[in-house]
Amino acid sequence: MKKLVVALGVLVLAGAGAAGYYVSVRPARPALEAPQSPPLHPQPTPSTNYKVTIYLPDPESREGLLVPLTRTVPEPPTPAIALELLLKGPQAEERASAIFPEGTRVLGAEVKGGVATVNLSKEFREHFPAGTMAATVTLYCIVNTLTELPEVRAVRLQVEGKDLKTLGEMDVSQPLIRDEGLIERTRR
Amino acid sequence: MGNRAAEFSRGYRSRALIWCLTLSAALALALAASAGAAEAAVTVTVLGQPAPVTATPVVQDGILFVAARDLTGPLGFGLRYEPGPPKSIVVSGSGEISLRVGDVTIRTPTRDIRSPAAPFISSGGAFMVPVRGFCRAVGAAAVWESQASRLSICARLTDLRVAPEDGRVVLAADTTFPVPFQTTSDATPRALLTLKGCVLDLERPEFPVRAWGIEEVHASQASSAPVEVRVAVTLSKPKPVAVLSQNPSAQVRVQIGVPEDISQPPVLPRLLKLCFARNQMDEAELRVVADAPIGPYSTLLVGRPARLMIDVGDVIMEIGEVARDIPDALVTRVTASQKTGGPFVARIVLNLVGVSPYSSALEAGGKELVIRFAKAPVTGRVVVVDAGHGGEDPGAVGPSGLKEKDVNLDVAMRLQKMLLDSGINAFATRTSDVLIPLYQRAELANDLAAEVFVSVHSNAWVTPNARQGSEVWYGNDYSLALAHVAQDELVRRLRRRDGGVHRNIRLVVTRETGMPAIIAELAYINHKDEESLLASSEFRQLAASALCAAIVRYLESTPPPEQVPAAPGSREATPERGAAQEVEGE
Repeated sequence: MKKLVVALGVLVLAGAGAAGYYVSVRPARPALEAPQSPPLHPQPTPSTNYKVTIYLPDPESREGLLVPLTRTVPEPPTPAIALELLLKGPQAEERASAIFPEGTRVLGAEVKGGVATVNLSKEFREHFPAGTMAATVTLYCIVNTLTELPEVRAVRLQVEGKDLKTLGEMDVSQPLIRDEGLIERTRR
Repeated sequence: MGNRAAEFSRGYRSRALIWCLTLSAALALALAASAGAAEAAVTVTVLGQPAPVTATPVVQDGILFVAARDLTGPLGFGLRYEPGPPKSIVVSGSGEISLRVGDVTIRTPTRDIRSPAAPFISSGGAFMVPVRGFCRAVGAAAVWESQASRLSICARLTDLRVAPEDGRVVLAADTTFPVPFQTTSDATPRALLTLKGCVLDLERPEFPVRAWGIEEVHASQASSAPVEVRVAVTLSKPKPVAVLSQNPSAQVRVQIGVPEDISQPPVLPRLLKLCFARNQMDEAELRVVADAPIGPYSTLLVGRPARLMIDVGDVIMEIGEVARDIPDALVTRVTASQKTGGPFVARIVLNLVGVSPYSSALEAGGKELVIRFAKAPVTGRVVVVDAGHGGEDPGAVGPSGLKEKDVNLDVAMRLQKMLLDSGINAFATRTSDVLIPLYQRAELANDLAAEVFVSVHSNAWVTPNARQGSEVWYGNDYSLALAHVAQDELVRRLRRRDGGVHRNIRLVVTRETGMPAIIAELAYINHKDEESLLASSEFRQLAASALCAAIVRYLESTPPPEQVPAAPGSREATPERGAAQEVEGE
């Protein structure tokens, strides 16, 4: 973040300097002209695709367990779309593991008051992994992926339409909030 | 302006580099904005004196160029033109440097300097040199004031000290070029020295003296018109001030007080080294070694994270800044730095595993400050060992069928026995193959008022045979020290991959327990290699001994609850010189 601020600062300063020159000085000396820079925000074309960030776990990780991965979809992303992308798992070249227990289906996902309620089929609970690591990354891949969507601040889990109280050895009775600490640091 | 003994040989210091970098960046931007409109208004000051220019300074690609002759004359250098090609100049002082048209390299007697831009010949025929590169090469510094369109070429103040010289107490200021100066004194009482056309290039612009009736020296930079360094010498009582050097000078000498003052020897101890070791009693011990008796000092123990802060007043840190990791059961890191801007205090900070009881004393005739950590006793202290899963819940299952619940129970039973053998009052949440509800496990530890809760687990990745290693999980900040000690012991003894310490606030047993609590994941049972390890009696014994060592180490570093000092914040955290708690003198 700090780097970004510094970079922006430099951009602003450079811009200000160059602009000041343009306004106040005879434009006859080419060596002092501002360099041509590309526009900062390219205009999206009407038929644009949408980018979605999903999180999957990296089996080699030591610090940040979850890797952000980018997917492109043709329509504005919703929780259901993000969950389907999670279900599809990693692409061939990605160093990440699939997380959903075998046979899990997404029965529904709706957002109300900033909380996304995710309804999963019974396989999610029946085949939910033991093992603290597997349980943690499975849960937080879902939570962190959904909270990437601007309208989602927290996630509530349901199985076959019923609110989950516990999942494996975890207490999930309260809406789950994003955990930045689990995300791979270099790409956070 | 005769006698310009320029010193090309002086090493170029980082501080001056920063100056030049910032200044030239500001310079480039500001000049780019104002060049055309305000070009004629640019004024150049060299070493505090106005220096009229014969050629207009110009900016090209953000770099300021000034005619070489406009700089060399006021700086006292000789200048020789070589016809080339390419055309070049030789600037002579006590050595010679050369700059060539179209060449970014500036050659000096000691080294080549790479300038961001090459000299060129202006349309009027002047040999234009990049100001920043030129200043670097000759040991000067450039200051650009954009509002006033003023460029100041300055000397660098490279040494400032108070010391006896020729039977007198002298304030000595060494600069890279002769600068005009003036002295005044005020009723504070203070002696003030102003060095015009000068920038600070000192490691320690502020330092204590505490001898000869002189308290402290503070040098500060005035970076707008006029660019100058102001040196304030605080005195214990008013004293006469006499200038000993000619004006201007590159070696300004100011006598402070009368010659008789010198009979009082300097008293400030210099901090020579910090030694951390285990003594013969196996106690962790820090020695702060000085060359003279250490004066007032104070210690302050704070928690979360646990650390001991030691402030030693009125010392000179000869050792510079210290930051070192320590592989010790009680202490993990030592840092030391000199505080400035207030009392001259060397602050030493020890990062601790827990809030350990300690003692402090002056030894070796007051020249060594010794901090000793006594180990807290472990006998009779309450620890709860939890074997994860059980009964109808097998936990994770290995590729060849090894059940996590069985590994966990065996290791937990071994651990409990080892803890009991060490005199620790160890309880187990389960001692057979039954399923105890998670909340009940945490409740047991809370009811027993246990000091440590360790849940023994074997790990699993989402897919088999993909991940290996030992990991520790925790849920609350107050469990972090325990988690790191446990991870350290597991990795060291089991020699599996270091999978790291991780936090998950949702895990019931670490969430519902009111004491430091961790889940120790010995290895990955769903990886075939580690499954076979977890099946072996040797590995289980090793795992139990790692956790036992971690628990003992943690308890020894953490006094039992009734001895825990007050929470941070209830005591003053920034002790004043000579006024803090636990101050002991010699």
